[in-house]
Amino acid sequence: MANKSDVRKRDIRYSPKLETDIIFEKANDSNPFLVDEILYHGFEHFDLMANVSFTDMIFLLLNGELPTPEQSDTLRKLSVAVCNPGIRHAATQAAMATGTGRTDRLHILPISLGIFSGEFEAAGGMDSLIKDLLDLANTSLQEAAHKVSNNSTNGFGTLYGDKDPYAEKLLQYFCESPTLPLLQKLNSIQAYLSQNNVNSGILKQGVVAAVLHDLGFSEKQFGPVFQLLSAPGLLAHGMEYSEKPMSAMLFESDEQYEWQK
Amino acid sequence: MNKRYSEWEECHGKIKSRRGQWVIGKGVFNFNFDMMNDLVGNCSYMQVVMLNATGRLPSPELAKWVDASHICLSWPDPRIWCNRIGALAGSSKTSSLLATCMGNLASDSRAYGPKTLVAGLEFMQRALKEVKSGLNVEAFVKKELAAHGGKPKIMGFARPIAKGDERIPAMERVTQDLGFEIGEHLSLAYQIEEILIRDFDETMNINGYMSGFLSDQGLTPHEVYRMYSFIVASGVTACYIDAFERTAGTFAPLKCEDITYTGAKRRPVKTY
Repeated sequence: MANKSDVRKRDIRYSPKLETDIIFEKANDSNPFLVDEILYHGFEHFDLMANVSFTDMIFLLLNGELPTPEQSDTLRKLSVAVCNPGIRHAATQAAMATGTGRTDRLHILPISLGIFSGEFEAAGGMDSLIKDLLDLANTSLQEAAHKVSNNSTNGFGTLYGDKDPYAEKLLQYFCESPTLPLLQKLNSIQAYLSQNNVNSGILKQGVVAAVLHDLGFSEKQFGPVFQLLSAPGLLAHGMEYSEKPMSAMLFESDEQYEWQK
Repeated sequence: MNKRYSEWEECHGKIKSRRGQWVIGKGVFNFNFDMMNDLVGNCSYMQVVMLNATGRLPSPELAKWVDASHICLSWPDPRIWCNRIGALAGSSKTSSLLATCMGNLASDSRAYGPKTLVAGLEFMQRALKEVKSGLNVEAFVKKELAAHGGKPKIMGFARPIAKGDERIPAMERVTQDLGFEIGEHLSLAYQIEEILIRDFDETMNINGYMSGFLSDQGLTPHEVYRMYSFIVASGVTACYIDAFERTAGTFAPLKCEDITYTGAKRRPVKTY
């Protein structure tokens, strides 16, 4: 019997090598740390550079195949749809505070994307969302409306106390594509909610999750992909404020500051 | 072995450390210390932070001084940039760890945080060198002012947002209570301050005080940067929690009308 204070190594066999499906690097003949050729999921790097878009490349890296033309077009549209959370978003405010606070500009994205991992209007909690959306899509319109009214469906709800009109516009835009069946079902539910004056509706996370689901992404990828696609706007706002004087950022006066002792 | 990449080849397949190692079954070693037997219970956490940052175990008094200075440098007002990030993280319902890390990362700034201490210590150490080499303090300050367009923009002196610095009397008390003498760097900082008060009504700030004191302790600017890597963390955590415990999105919410758009007018996307 071992003494409880003894510390012993566990017999864990660690992998002697790393392995990946994503990249193959052919070593340079005279220096094994340098690369002569790169394949991504079998596609030669320069071939990809010549023929695919950045969003196609994201699809390939995460899914192992290049998207079909329809998938490519939808992901391109989604990347534009969510490229900027908006200047009033907490993550953008964080980017701006980073920029105007004279923080190293290379920290703008890590900081703001970190804040974008939250659950409010952002990428947090999205991996549990698709189950709710699929359940909703498989019920009757009346039952769906009941569920949404009771706030029991992630991806639907209210924002600042009301249904989100812009998320509804995005939903309508994407459901024009015949290759997005979940989106179309959710749009029917949204229309039914509106006809019955239910003050609750699809949220942006719901639209993003449904689009990514219909594109074939796994639910574990939804949040991180949403985060990745939001990066350009966060960066732009942070950079804009990194050029402004420190006084350009909000600094509420003492009169605006309520210390709730 | 090919000499061009021999340094990398030499490191291939192994980890080298000058710091320490967990030897399972034998102990955890940090430099020459057995962490569980030599350090735990015998040292403060801040002494070990400084050991890890500088490679030297400081006196309990110096660690206590550094500990106190951390209290000066982080407080729970979410209007401060890094704290605002913590509050925004709370309002977004992220985790406290993420909030604290992201807010703390924001302090990697040239306006506040540990990077300004690098500039502060570099300035104080250069200042003492120049004064010791024969330049009088008045002439030195004049030269520094000229380099900044005649404005008192000298690292460690004056302060954004407010004039004066309530943290200096607090740290002066700590310095005295712990039995530290005023060394030649800090003494010079006081002389520079006298000139700036006289000519600009601007005082030394906490950076100047700390830079003078820490230079007198023989620390290098980069050692200090590393020691103060979590300089604003606790205030960020506090601001995170305050916002997290409220309804999502209620930290300083902005209406569309709160934003003034100054960009191009509406225009169509050209298709080719």
